[in-house]
Amino acid sequence: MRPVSSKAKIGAKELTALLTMYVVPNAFLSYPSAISHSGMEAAWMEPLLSGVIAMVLFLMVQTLIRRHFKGLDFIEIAKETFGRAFAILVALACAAYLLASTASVMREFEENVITTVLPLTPILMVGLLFILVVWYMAYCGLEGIARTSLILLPILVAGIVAVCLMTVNWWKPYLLLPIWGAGPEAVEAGSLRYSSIFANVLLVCILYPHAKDDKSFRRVGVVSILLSAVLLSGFIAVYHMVFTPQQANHMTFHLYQLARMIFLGRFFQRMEAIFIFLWVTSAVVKMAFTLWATAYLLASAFQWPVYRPILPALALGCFSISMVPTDVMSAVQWEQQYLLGWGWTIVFALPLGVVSLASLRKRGRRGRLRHA
Amino acid sequence: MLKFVIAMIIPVLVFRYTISFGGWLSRHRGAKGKVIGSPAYVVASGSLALTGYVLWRMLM
Repeated sequence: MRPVSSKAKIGAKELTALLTMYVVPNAFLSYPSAISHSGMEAAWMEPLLSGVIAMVLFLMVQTLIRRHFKGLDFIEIAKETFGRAFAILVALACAAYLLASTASVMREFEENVITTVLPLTPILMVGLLFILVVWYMAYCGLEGIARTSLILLPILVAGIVAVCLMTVNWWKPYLLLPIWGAGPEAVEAGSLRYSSIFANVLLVCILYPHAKDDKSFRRVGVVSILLSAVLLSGFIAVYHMVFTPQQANHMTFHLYQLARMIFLGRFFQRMEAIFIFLWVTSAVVKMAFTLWATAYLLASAFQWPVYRPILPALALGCFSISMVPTDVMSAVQWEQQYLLGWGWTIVFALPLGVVSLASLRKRGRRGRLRHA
Repeated sequence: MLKFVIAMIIPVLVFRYTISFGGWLSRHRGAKGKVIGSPAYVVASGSLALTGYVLWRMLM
């Protein structure tokens, strides 16, 4: 039986689109609210600073993998260096994080759809439709998700830019003052705390063997982080030119609130209905990717030859976890407290720790062989 | 109660499918298969239990 890792190969453009599509949908989730709370008027700086942190860590991990573990993914590196039991533990931690992240995104989007376009539809029905689409996309595999991302990314970027530009008549640039908001220390702390939205360091460890072109992988990571950071920062800046940070703290669907403000004369107003479907589609791509990654990690750790048969159970588990919080505020609080606040341990610390220790161990072994 | 029973049909089918996947892994890998197949049973049981709890809370 072929190992699960020897299948999909995707190009640089698709990978860039996929990694960007993973980060940018955070603009529709509780991330703007979290950074508005920590950075106040300077919240727009936080995605940029978080992007810089993520990029430095990404370059470190990518360099170590390229030098010492060419063609291996994160779990295979852990297995090769520290043994199977450790690799299983690492895979379980990452899979649990990704599953919880999928569930959290799903719940927030379910609430988003119910409060905006389908107020009379039961949440179970919206969730069921969501999970069916996500399961099908994950079933199509990494190549399918990556190609969908490539098609959707320009539309998503155009959608975000359009919402920002169409609210130009509401912009009050003085709302961005004082320039440092809650102070440089608060901005720095917020950037560090919420940097886990740039999960590129973890994703690079999972996707590395799937890159068609090994050399362009560094460019893929840099471009995707830059593009995501600039888009998020631009959106937050525009958002704070329309709403104050205090208002932002009490809102849940930020991009929707901004879209509701569009008023460009009698014929161009209340255009949020156009954008909602775009946001939901991009969220579906993000969830499909995380569901695929969860299944892939489990398959890789437990040496399953295929990952598809586990998808229905994972999708069902994900749907159930998304229904555990009793209301939308509990779901948002749960996401901000655990996934955003502690996500860095899984997204940055775990891959960096495993790859660095494995590299040191490999170098030590080589040194010992040379001296023997 | 009837709503809950009907809603549980899909989770039970998914559970059965995942259990059969675990069984397939066990058959294809011999003695080692029991070890690699058991996580599939855990995932199947976990998702069924969690779905049962959530649906019970929402539909009963």
